[in-house]
This record gives sequence, structure tokens and C-alpha cells, in this order.
Amino acid sequence: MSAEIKGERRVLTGNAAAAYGALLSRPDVVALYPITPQTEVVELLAQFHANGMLDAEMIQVEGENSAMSSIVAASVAGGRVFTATSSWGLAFMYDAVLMAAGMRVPAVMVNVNRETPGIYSVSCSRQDMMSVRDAGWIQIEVETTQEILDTVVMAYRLAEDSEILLPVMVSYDGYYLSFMSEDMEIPPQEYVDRFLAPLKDQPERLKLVPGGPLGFHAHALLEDFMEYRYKHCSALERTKDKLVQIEKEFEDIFGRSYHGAVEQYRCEDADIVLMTMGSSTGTARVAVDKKREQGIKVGLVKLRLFRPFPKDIVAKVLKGKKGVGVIDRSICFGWNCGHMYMEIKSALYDLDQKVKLVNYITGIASLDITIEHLERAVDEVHAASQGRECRDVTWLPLE
Amino acid sequence: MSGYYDALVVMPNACPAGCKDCVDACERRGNENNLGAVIKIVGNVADKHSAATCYQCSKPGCMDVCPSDAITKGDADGVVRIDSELCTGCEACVDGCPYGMMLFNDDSQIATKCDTCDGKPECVKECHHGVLSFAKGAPVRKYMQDEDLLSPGVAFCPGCGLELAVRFALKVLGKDIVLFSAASCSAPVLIGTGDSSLEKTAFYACLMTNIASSAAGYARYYKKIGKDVTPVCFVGDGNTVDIGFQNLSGAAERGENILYICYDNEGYMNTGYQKSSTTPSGAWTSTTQVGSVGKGKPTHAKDMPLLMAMHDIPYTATATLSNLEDYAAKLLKAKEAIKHGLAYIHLYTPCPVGWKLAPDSTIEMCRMAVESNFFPLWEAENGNIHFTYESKEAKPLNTFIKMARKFSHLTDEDVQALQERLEYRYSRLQKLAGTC
Repeated sequence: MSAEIKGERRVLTGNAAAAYGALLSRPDVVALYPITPQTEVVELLAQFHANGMLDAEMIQVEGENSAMSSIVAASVAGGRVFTATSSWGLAFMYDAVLMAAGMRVPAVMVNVNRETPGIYSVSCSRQDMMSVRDAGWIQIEVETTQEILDTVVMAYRLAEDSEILLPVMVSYDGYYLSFMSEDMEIPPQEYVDRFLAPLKDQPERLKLVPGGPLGFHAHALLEDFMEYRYKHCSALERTKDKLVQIEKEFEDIFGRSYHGAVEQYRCEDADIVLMTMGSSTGTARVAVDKKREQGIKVGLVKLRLFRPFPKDIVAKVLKGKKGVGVIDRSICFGWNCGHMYMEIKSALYDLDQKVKLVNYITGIASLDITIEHLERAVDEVHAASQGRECRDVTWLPLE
Repeated sequence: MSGYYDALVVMPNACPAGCKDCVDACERRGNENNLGAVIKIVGNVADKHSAATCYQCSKPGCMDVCPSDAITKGDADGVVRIDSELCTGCEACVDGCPYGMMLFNDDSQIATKCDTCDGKPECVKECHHGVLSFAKGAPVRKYMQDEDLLSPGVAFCPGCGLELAVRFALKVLGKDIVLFSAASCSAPVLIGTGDSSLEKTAFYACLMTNIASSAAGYARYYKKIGKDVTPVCFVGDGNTVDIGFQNLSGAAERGENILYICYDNEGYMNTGYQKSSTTPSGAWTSTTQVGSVGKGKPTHAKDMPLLMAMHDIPYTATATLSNLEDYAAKLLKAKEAIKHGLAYIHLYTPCPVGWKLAPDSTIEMCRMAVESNFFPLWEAENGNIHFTYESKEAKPLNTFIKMARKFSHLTDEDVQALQERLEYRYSRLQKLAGTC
């Protein structure tokens, strides 16, 4: 159990946590291209490689497209692979991102959330990861530096599971988590090895080997292709239970748990809840605590698994709540709302009783999501839950 | 199976007006047995014409149809011979030869054909115009592996140079390569459709943007586990010089251990003849149209092989289908060179449909491109360039360029401008090679 583990305690940035997560997972091939705010991940892995800690082929590619393309092929060859990117980098590898999913490649990629539209868009938002939400990847958004490291390690168990075989993207908020330093534990290598060991007992996945007529691609004709897609979706559905199972095993070894697809905080008796993803969840915990002191029965739901969207769990957790404030850090263009809000709305459609949903678009362009913002959200949702008029979508702090 | 034998080689359409020295020589020899000449003039002897004789087929049609087993193919030299004692004069073999090279001697009432004078052809001795030669089969033979790794029937257009380019490369490189290909003319063959493909090697279907980077990732895993592997990228000019240029250049700079073959058909030919960066200036394509304003492609072709050589990679070469031994030698050198980094072969591969070229003129177009220095044959080891073939007397572009009707609208001045660019580029190569 956790008490026996004596990992190294360090104060590390989120980027360093990602690099240590990759290092401890012992990848065979790592292909990387630096981009703000992910660059530190590349530099650290290069350092680990240079000093002999990282026994992997390291490909310092000339652009992100090649980073993704190289690890996809290395994975098809039989290797464990890793890359990391952000923003434009994710956009520049978009075709290869689709290919990775189509080929059912068990790759793990870290994406450091960042805005896109201009060269000075060096600021946080989750617009980048939302642009690939239909690519067929598993997407997990995390809250703390410790969670980054732990989730990268867990991502390999998920990706390489014979019942899943899908690429996993672990995302965290750029600037907030990428550069923020927190006290955390680097688990001992032997424990990570033990956690990843069950992958060796899996049925061997198909690999491309020389010497005979065997081809790898993600295309087929007519119903053959439709079957590819059908199986892909089935694997994504299996991910939801698989993540819970893997997290249980992780907790047994390391003593830390992230509660699978969603984490609930003070929800049991809550009338209303806030719903968050990523780094602002910590702020929301404080806001919830403060509002509890004022007598408002408010809870917090942190969404961790974004793809596949855990719609049944979300519906179960939010069922019977009188109001939900959804804190989004990305914009669903054409709907004038956030992505999480839109998806939660779909997830709640089948409930007999309507749940009042209020959306806050906030934290765009690295604007702080403050305790005051979230207290205001709690107040407004609370008022709305008691029948008062409330706008559906509010841009904080613009409105 | 048939071997690779010495062969009588005839340069087509290369006999000067009035010359029939080969026929005379053949007749003198044939007269010893009263059978006449077995080499023929094709065309009008008073004009420029060709000579033709038996190809010594690997699976002779004449032999198949002979009812008296009078025709045999020699194991040692591959020559198809007629046993005059067994020949009944039925003439079935004359009909059985698809090339019209089985002759019938009315006086003797038996069939007759070329037997290469048992390896010492009289006609070759008498040819003083470089049309006929007797080529040694041995250098080719040692390159070739026994198995044809490509299906006998493949979905290419009539006369496509690509089929020969692929089939030959696979025969030379062998079965243990891993092919990397992408959307292109070669795609339906090399990466198949659905669950079928037409080659017997392992293959990986890339995107147009990531052929070299995919092969590099694959190679790196094998490096990690300490095993040898030969990843071979086989793609067209669009994937190489345009949309896929960046990742190829990156892989070259990093010294990835991969062999990259670009078959250059000077455009996006799989989707109907749109221009690429290697489309020559002036050429018609469906996106560089000819009209009252448009004059074909307004800019020069990218000199891709030279760009690759300038990466100072272990091996760069140009090759084409009229010079197969040269191509084979370069494939083998490239396969060896990937132990030290990236090897690149730029293969001039005419597209009869897109170039508006007669389907039977593909190889001729290759030959003329070489002989004119439009596509010179050279190689570069670590950036150090030298020629592997130099034409004795460069043929001017205007003697053949309009064989490809994508150039048919060019004025004499346009052709002259192309000629000048060709000479500039060739002299640049000569300077780099230190031959001038």
C-alpha cells in the first residue's frame, strides 16, 4: 500500500511531471518537437536521454507532423511510444492524429492546452484539444502535477490494453499547470514497472514485420470500413469501465486515486454543483467550501475523461440536482457556449426531470479563473435553481 | 526458369538512311545454309529506319505451337533454335510468334530464325552506327532475385513506366523490405484496396505528408531492438517534392536509415495530370493550361535530386527505365548506404496518359531524356557527385521533346529556352562533379 512506497518527493512543474511520467513508462521511441508551453517536456526528455536515464530512440523531428507520424509507425512496428505537443503543434499533426486513431495505435501523447488563432496566442484555453475531440482518441484532462505523472503512466495501461488499443491524449492547462511547481512524488521505477507489467501478459497485438505480404493502413471499402468504425466506437465505450479498473489497480500500488471518469466533491447532499475540468478545479474547491460556509449546499464535479464522454456517469451524478454551473475554458463556435456545457446538456436529455444548466465561458487567453468568479457562478446557479431568471451562457469576466 | 542471358540489343529507330549492312551480313551467313537473312528492316530503308530480329523470348510462342518439337530454347545461352531435321514446314511457328520474327524459307520449306550466330552475331560486327550490340547478361543476372514479388496483372495504365519501376525494384531489393507508400499512382498496387494488395512484401500506408517520417519511426524501433530492417519509401513526385518535402528533408538531415525512391512522372498523375514542382516549364497540365493567356507551366522544375544530394546524405542517385543495369546498381548501393543514413533515388518515370505520350514510347522517352542530358544519370556519395553515364553526343531537345504532346504547343523559342535551362543545369552538374 501507499504508506510503504517511498518515492522521491520533489517540487516539480507540470511539464516536468509529464516528462517523468514518460520516463518511468519506458517508451521505446520518443519523437518530439518543441512548442510553447510544452518545450520543457522536450528539453527534459532530451536531458534524460543524454545522461542515459531514458533508454529510447529519440527522434528530434523537424515538425509536429513528423513527431506523430514517426511514433505511429514505431508503434505499428511494435514499440511503446510517446510524444507531447500543444496548440499549433496539435493542429500541424492533425492528419497524423486521425491516422493514429484509424490505425488503432496505442500511442500516448501529452497535450499542453493552449490557444491557437495568432502567433501571440501563447495563452491557455482548451480550444486545441477540442479541435480533435472527434478524432477517435481517448482524452483525459488533469488537475494537478501529480495527476499528470500518474495519468501518463496509467495512459499506457489504457492504450495498450488488448480490449482498447487506442491512442490516449493526456491534457493539462498550459501556463497554469505547465509552469506551476507543486510538491509531488516521483514513484520508484520498480513500482511503475509492476503496475505496467500486466501488459506483458496481454495477447500480442498485430505488428508489421518484414518478410511477407502484410499491410498496415486504416482504410477499407464499404462495410469493411464501416466495421472498422464500429469496432473503434465499441473500444471507446469499453474505455469507461477499463479506466475505473486501471485506476483501482493504480490506487492499490500507489495509494492515489482520481476516481475514474469524474470526481465528486461535497456532492452527496448538494442541491447545486459546479462542473469543471483541469487546473481550475482547485479554485472551484475553495469557492465551494466558502459557499458551504454561507449555507449554500453546493458541490463540485470534476470531469476527467472527456473522450469517450462518460454520459451515463454524468447523468447519474447530476440527476436530481437543482442547478449545475458548467465552467468551460473553450468555445463551441456556432453554439455560443462551451464544449463541456453542450455535451452535458446532451447527456442529461434522457432524465425525467430537467436539470437547470448554466454555462460560464472563462479563463480564455490565460485569464485567471478566480475564486470570486466561481463564487458569483455559485450564487447565480443557486438563484436560478430557485426559479430566478438567469442567462444560459455568461462570458466571464466580459459579462 | 529462364536465366538472364547475353542478348542482341537493337536501338530502335536509329538506323541511318540507306544502311542495311546488318541484313547483308546476315544474308551472307544465312546463304551458307540457303536460308536467307533473319534480321529485318522495319520502315523505309531510304529514310531513317529500324532493324529487328528475334527477341529469344523467355517463353517462346513459336516453341509452344510447334507440333513436332523442332523448336527448343537453350539452357546455357537462352537462344531459341530450330532443328531443321525435325521441322515439317507447317508454319505454325510463324503464326505463333507475336513479333513476326519467325521466318519461312520457301526454297527449303522450313522455318528459320536468328540464333545469334551462337553468340557471335555477324550483324553486330558489321553495324558501324551503334545500333546493334551484343550485351552481356551476367551483370544483370547477379542483381536479380528469383521471385517476382508483384502480381502479374496490376492496375496501371497502358505503357506506364511505374509498373516496370516497381517490379524491377522489388526484384532487386528482395522480399525482406518494408514498403512505405501513400496516395499516388502506386497506391492501388502498393497499398492495395480493402484487404487485398498486389505485392508480396510487408507494406505500410502513409499519408502524403509523412512517408519519410513514418519509415523513420519504423526504422527507429528496429534500431532500438537491435535488428536490421530495410524500410523503402516508394512514392511519386507530389509526395516527395511538394507536400512531403519537409518530412523528407528532415529525415535526410537526421540521418534516418531509410531508402527513399521517388518515381517522378512530373505531376499529380493519379488524380488527372495536375502540375507538381517537377513539371518542366512550358508543359501542359490540367492546372497549367494552354490558352490565349496560359502558356503551360510558367516556372522551372525543382531540381530535386540535387537538393537531396546537397543534404550530404550517404547516397543520392538519378535513374531511369532505359538504363536498368544502372538503376539496379544504384538500388543495391542505396540499400547498402542506408546503414549510414538516408539514401535517395530519383527515378524519371514517364506517364503516357498525363504526358500525352504514345504508350509504346515510354522507354524511348527515358532514353532520350538521358541522351539529351535532360535527365542525366549520376550519383552522389556523401554529397560527392559523379556521372554514371555520359552521352557521347547530346541529342537536342527539339529532336524528341514533342513525342510528349504536353509540349506540343511550344514554339521553337520555347524549346530553345528549355534547351538553355537544360544546358545551364548540366554544366552546373559538371562543375559539381568536377568534369569541366
